[in-house]
Amino acid sequence: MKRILSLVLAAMMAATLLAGCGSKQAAGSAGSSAAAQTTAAKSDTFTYAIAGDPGSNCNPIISTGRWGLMTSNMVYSPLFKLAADGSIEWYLAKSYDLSEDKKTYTFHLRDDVKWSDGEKFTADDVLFTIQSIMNPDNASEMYSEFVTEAGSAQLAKVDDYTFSCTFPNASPAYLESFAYQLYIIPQHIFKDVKDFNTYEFPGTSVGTGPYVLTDYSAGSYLKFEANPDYFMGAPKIQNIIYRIITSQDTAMLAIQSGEVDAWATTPDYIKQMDLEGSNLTAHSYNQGNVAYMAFNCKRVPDQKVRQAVMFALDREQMNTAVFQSKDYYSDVYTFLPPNNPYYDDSTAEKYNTDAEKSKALLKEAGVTNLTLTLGYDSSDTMEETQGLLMKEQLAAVGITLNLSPMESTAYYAALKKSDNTFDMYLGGYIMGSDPNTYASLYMSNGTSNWMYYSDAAIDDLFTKGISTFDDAERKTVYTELQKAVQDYACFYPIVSRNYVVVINNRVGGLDQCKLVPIYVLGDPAYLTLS
Amino acid sequence: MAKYILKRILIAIPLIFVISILCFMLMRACPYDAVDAMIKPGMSQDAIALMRAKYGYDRPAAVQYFAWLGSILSGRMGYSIVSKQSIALDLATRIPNTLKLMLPSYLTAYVLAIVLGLIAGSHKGRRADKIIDGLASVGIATPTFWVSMLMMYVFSYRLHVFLSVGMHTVGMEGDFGDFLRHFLMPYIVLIIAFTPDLVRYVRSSTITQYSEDYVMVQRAFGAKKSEIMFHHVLKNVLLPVLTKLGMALPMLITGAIITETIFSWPGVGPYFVTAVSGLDYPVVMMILLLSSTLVVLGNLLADILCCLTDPRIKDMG
Repeated sequence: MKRILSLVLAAMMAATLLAGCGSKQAAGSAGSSAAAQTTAAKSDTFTYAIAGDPGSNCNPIISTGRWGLMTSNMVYSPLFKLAADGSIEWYLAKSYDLSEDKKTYTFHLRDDVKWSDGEKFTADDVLFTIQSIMNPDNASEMYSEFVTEAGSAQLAKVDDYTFSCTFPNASPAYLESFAYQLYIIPQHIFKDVKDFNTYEFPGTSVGTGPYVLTDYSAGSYLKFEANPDYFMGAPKIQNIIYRIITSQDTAMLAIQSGEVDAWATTPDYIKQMDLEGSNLTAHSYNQGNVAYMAFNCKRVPDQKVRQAVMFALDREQMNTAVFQSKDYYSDVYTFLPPNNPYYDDSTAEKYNTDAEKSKALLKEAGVTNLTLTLGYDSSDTMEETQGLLMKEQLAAVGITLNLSPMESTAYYAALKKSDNTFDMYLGGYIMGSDPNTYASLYMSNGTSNWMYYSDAAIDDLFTKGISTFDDAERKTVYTELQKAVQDYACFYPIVSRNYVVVINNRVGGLDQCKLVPIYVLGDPAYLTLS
Repeated sequence: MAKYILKRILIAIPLIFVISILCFMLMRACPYDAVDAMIKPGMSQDAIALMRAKYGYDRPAAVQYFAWLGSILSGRMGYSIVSKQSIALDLATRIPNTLKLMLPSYLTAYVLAIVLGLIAGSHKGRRADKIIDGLASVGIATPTFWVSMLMMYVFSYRLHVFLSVGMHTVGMEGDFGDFLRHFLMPYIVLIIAFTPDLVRYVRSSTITQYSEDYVMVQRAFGAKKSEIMFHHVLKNVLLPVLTKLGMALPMLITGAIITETIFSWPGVGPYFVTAVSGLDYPVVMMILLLSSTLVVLGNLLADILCCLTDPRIKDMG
């Protein structure tokens, strides 16, 4: 008996000893650089903690989700990128012309770009990419960018470095279709692939981006190596690793112990961390998000009631409770995010807290003892706090608010059905740069209009907004539109929450790389390690 | 013997079918599906319809099920709807990873449990028994994720002895020392998770055996304590315990979901959980099929082991 026990204990001790032999340093003091042999501290590798597995498919035509887009941004390049203020940063394209009738876009491409396998990049690759998106068999997310109710876009090759795309109607919003998410894939690699969904990753990606995907371990990591021929200049960091860590608590420990260099998180995790002691900095930036409360106008048809509710709410109280510090959010008063070039709240009704006005409106509407149901995503701690505070704020004016949280995907599926049981609901979105990308949310027949209202004035303003290419004219229209939506009293913007990335101080070059919405690292080629 | 095994397997096959149908129906009964999670605002109805058609959601549930069944029977495991990866390839990487974690920890827990359970059972009521039983109770009550986080905080963050993320440091896949630095924490956590339950099982089995007549007879004959334990009691105690071993077969695949998620261990656990929350039915159905097959085989194995250890059972069954 004792012999067996001692054997078992001896075996376990031996195992621990082996572990000690394996590591080059003995257990060091806390906070020391004992992490020296982990990849994180290696001087040529930058490790980023991501929360999901994008797979190795490496095909922007069919990949969905933030991690897939981040991978595409490493391996491929778009024609151009739109900065937050609407200005163009050219990548694979150098310039574009717009025809007289404003329906045809002609792009002039760079002639000095090579794919990472040495082949030349030409207009054929761009045409192939857009044709793949327009191919219904691929069921691409971007299908509706080029195939709309008005018809399909027509593509034409002018020469090896010039192509044109003709749309069935003229709209300034079409320019954006060529920017975000349109990463160009190599025709010579993908042309014989019948089904993108079943394409097996050959081990190395071929793209024009700053990095090449060289190793993928399912559920563990994606390893990228620098592409020395990158047309914007060779990347400074040789290796980048996307480490897949699904548990947020694990990631919090990993970044503090130096196992990863960067991690996207929320203020409530940052509160628990010792940033300075672990040589970290929290970078908070506007990601074009609008978090809001909206009404199901079918269930709450009386405008006065909706206005009463909105006047009773207190944004400041909610935002201070959720974020603690103004570093992590921006105020927003219309349906556009505050960093959008068309944002203008000067004429819009802000519904600043006014309990007396709220009570007066309720009286006017002839409503007493009102009970409403608020739906929200149970996995979002911000929405949970907002819901609880709203309940209190509405109780102060005599309205009873019932909270109805739901599991994430089930919640969004429920919102899409017009017969859902939410009188009000919480949500958030990040749309494109052009205000017309919001049309599907606010037009009467919009596919994502979950407020289920119908207003001809708002519809007309959206149509007017894309009827002209003049920037000043569009600004006037959209200012009017923002006022109109606020006047209709169906949408209550609460806050624009920032994206927060905690990065180890040894990572430099962030100003040139830029932290951007969705993709986070705008151009990873500019990052440096010290 | 062979006829017995064959009969058991033939009975099990329709059972596995029924389980797969039930699971599929439950997934279809959900108010939403995998495509709902992929739809962005701004996508036209046409684009959404295309996506639905591509993954078979425009057809009735029965047709979708038989399509899946057909592809399974012809050997194609299919592709995940969410990640578009081949399920066969993914499982070929993940199952060995889970086994590397589960086999050592379960076997260690098993051996440890037998040892401790025998000690506790043979010293019933005395100090050794009280300590072991007390520890077992604490072990059962402790949640694995809490122990995991505690270990990570102490050994990874404070002492920098072990590493908390994944199975290997990237680029050091062949290094056994590096593997141990990643392996030991989840290993210890799983031992803490599995041992208490088995200890109490062995302990109660031992106590039952010690209260049998033949032990009293042996004591009357003046046999030494070790003789009674090793020549007589042990075999009888091990019989039900072996059954447990057989039933642990499916656990080798899906037994460590929480631990694998916390330590980002690239096994079947996190893969399965992500698939379930995304309603990725090809993945869920495949893992379910695997799991239920293992349950059937495990039970069969347990029965065979019992027959081998105690020939009397064969004559009975």
